[in-house]
Amino acid sequence: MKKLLLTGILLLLGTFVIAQSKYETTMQQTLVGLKLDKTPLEFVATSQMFTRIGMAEKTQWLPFYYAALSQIEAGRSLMMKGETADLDQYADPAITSIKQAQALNGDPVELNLLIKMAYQLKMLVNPSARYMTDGQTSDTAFQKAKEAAPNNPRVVLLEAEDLYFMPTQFGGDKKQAMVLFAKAKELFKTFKPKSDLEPNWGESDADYFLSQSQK
Amino acid sequence: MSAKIFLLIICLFSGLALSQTTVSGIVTGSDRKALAGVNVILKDTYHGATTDLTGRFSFSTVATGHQTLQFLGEGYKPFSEQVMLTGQAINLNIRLTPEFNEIEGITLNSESITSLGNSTKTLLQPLDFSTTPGGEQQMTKTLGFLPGVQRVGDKDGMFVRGGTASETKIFINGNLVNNYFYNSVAGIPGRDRFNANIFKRSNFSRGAYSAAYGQAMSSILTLETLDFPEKTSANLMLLPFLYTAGYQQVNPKKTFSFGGEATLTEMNWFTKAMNYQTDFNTGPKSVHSDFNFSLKTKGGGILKYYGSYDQNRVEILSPDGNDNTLTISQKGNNTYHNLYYKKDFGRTKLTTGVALSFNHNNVGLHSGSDVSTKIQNKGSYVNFKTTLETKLSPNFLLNTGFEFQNTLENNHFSTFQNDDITTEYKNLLSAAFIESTWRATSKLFLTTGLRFENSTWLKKSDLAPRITLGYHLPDDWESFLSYGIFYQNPDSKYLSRQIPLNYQQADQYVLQIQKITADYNFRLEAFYKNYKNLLKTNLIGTEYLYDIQNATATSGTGCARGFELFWRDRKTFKTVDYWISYSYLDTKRDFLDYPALLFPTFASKHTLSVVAKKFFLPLKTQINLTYTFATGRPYYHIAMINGESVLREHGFLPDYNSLNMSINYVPFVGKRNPKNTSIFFLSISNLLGYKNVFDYNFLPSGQRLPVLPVVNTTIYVGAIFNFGIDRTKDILENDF
Repeated sequence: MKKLLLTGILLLLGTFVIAQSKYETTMQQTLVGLKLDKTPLEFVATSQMFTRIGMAEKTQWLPFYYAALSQIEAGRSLMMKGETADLDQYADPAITSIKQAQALNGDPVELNLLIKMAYQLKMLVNPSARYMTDGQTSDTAFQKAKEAAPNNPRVVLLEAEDLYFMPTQFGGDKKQAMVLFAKAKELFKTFKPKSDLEPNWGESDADYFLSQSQK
Repeated sequence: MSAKIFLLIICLFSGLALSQTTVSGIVTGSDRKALAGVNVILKDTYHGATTDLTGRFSFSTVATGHQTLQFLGEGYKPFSEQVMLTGQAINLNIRLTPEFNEIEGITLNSESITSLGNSTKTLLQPLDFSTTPGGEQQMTKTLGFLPGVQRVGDKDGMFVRGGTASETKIFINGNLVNNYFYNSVAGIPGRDRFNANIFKRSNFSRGAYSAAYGQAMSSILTLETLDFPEKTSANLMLLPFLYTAGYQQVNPKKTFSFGGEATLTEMNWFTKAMNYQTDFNTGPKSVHSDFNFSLKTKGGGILKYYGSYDQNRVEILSPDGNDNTLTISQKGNNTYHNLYYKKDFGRTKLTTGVALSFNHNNVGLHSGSDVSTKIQNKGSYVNFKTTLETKLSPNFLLNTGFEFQNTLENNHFSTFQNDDITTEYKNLLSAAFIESTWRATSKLFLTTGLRFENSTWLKKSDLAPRITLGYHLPDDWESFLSYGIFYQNPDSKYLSRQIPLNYQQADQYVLQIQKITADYNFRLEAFYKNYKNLLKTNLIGTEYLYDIQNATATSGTGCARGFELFWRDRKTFKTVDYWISYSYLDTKRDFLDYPALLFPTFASKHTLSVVAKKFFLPLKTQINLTYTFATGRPYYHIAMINGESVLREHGFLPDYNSLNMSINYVPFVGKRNPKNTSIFFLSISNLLGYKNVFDYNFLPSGQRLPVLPVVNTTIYVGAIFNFGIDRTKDILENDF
């Protein structure tokens, strides 16, 4: 009888423990998948997996954060190739996910960085028509993030990227960009995310750009 | 025993493991198009999949029993399907219906939208109105590069599809603007009184418009003022002949704003420097000031006010054919006030507004020192309108309202022969309308409207039907078929005495086919207008370019038909945005003092406009080119001989040609949070110096003088400065 009860309790506890880390496990697995995605459709599939997690959990903001980040990564992969015509297709779902994350009280700094990236993608579709609207929204969000957390490594990374890519007439400065990439790299070393799932991406981007300077 | 239980538990678990269900299927959209990137979700679980490029998906789940499958596709309505998971494979065929923003989708009908907004349906941006060469910094002139608008350079107003300027009416916040253009002298069109930057939306409907508006047989331009400015700012516009300074303040919560602007125009030295073809004794001078405020009420409604006051004068010299010089002097002033309130109750929207206008214009013509002819016009206008729009169901929208337009005009006319005629015109137009929009299927919608009007001057009422059928064709094409009857009172300037007259009437049939995407815009419009009861007049006399005519009957007729093509491309050539607009117009009418059915003087058979803009990002410079070609309009010399209207001379003016260019330098592009957004521009009108002629002035001596553009070729530089007062720290979070 005692053994039965014990087995029963262990089983019950077991299922409870499994359920608790089912969220964490799935998130970890999907995050790994995100690192391996290459084509836009793969990024979208990862994004939608995050959305499904977020919709099932209902109280977690991180799934929606990563859902947005995955769409943004899809957009960025096209942007790097110079294909800017269809970026709205990725930026708009990203914005929807960001809003869902905000509604669940997500980290304002990290979310503002996503806003900056999403609206930047939108602006690139038609810069001369959209720099006043989407461009401004992107800048304002970034300024808010920078003011609130100037030493967040992703803040420094994104500022460095902008300096790196912008033509000099618009304030671009590759030298200063390199300085900031190095600073970002240092900050990544000391940055401690609040949990294993909290945003911690970007170090490999900083490494990539730092390696470019050697060329 | 524990072993048995253990076995039982294992069996239970493996039992569960065995009942995995595979769910697969294909998702399509309209026309069985495979939809990739659709999120397939097993409700309240992590299970699901993303559809691939063929629209197919497949996933396995251990869940059992009644479950809900959700399908979320970007741009499509969410769809749910109930499934029963028993272990047996499920294959589904899912059809998603496009997301259709109901209110916007329904009302996006035959009105061609030129909106100051960021939607893909936007044709023109606010800056376009200041920087399009040939647009002369005026809204109506810039809209002239769109199909349907005829090139009539010597008269103010918009001449659309064979109609006179009075057949196109302009509305601000729903209410009629009686004096949209500055007072002027004949031969020189008055400028737009309103600056494009005070409006957030403009709709230019070139035919068969909504039952909410009336008294315009051809078309309407409806303008909506800004609710609140984006930020507090000061602005300055400097041209060699025009100086504007303005200030606009808004509180951080965007619940209260106010502002004002003052403009000074002094063109005298400029007319001499640019060798203007019109001989100005006193160059056009004007002073204009306006003030506005907006308030968000506690209930969430918005109250907006805009008011202006201006004064202007000009004096020109013209040979009178007898070796004398005729001096034409004009002095005028105007004040306009518009108060508007709107409230959104969710399903219902209420708007109500009142507009007041007081206008004074004095024109004197004299040879030598005696004032030979004086024409004085005084007008006071009060307009009131209220509308209620209700969404009775997701597919049914009802719009109703009523309005009053009260006109009181006093005209005084005296000649050197001591004729002294004073006429008074009083008219109260009351109108009520009802319009329903019904979305019958996801592709088909129907708008039907009825408009009732009563005029105290005519002592008659009218009832006008309006109907539009819209059908969404495959691949983002839209088609509209519209019909309506449009009544209009005869123009008050011909009504010196009370005689029995009727409403003038135009029956319109319009077909529209269009495809609008972010990169391309194609539109084909075909129209047929049948005019009845047009005002007929007797020509009493002619002074300079002023024809004095008296109404006799509303027995004129006419018809106008044609088609228009519009093509805009923002994609094919990198950083180039261009459009081509072609209008074909075939029209004849017998109205005013025309002795027979004639091709009217304000119509061209063919009109072609090309507008091209290219932005050079590294140079932060934009180059704009506009070109218009219009086949020559006819001219008529009509005289009264023995009480009969006779055509003494007629012919065609030379074809109209004009190539205009402007260069804008935009230094703030690419700057982070620019403190000031300035634009410097150089504008050249009629670059190639075409000698255009707008009309002929037939003098009593028998001579005929060409009515030329005020200036043939003009070049000027200008700057627009906008200083934003940085309040980013005051902006609340999540305000994007």
